[in-house]
Amino acid sequence: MQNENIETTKTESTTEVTAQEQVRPLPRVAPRQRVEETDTGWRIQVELPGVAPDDLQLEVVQRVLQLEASPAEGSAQEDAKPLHQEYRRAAFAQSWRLPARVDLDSIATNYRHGLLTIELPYRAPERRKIEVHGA
Amino acid sequence: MVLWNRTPYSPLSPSFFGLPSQAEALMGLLNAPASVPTQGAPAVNLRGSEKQLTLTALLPGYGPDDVDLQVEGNVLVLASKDSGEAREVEGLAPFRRSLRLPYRIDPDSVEALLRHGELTVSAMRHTADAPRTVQVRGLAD
Repeated sequence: MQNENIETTKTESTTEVTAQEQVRPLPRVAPRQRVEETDTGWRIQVELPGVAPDDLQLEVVQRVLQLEASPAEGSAQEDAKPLHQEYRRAAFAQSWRLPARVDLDSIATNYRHGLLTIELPYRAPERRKIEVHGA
Repeated sequence: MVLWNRTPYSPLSPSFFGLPSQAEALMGLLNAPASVPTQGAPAVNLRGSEKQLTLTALLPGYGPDDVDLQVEGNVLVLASKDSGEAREVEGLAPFRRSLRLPYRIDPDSVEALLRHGELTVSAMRHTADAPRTVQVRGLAD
């Protein structure tokens, strides 16, 4: 049976480690997100604070929507002494398995102020007349 | 159906929900390292030296016109604006957070930049509060 809900899956790190990343590897975390079903499909909102639009990759592979994003370089103040810390700079990774009803060709995105909205509309119900041939 | 995951950004903040913001403000940010932001309030980091502070806060979905920043003495208040465009964005709750800084800052030196949902506030120490070297004098023998 085809799963009708969006299934959130963890993305394993498959990217090759470059020399730069070896020096200062950023931890990879799942971003904070909101997944909701609307009348016409699904909507995913993902919080990616600090990520420039160019540093955000989104692709669909075998009905799995994959997101990878890295925050822009921090300011020079990164070197200053930490006095209080509630979050750590991290790269974001997340995948979602899409229901069969979602129309992959109609996926729309909007990225504004570090908040990514992905609209995943359902396909229009397919209707086809079948000719019935009699003898 | 709506699902919100509340995955913290790091193991450093095991819980996003804890003390009410008033208690948090009373205790002060630095006096209470265990203090955590209340639900919906932005996570903050603070770095600095004897002379200068840099505060960063995660505000995804908020633009420069959606955020209000007030400085009074050594308290910095970060809040969402009622009139902001972000109010239209579903899932963004209004917030208000008071942060007690380790010393008074010069209000004229404060600079704030909101970029891709991450706010950076830099400020210089108020000169009246800066440590001074006091000459120690002795009595002539």
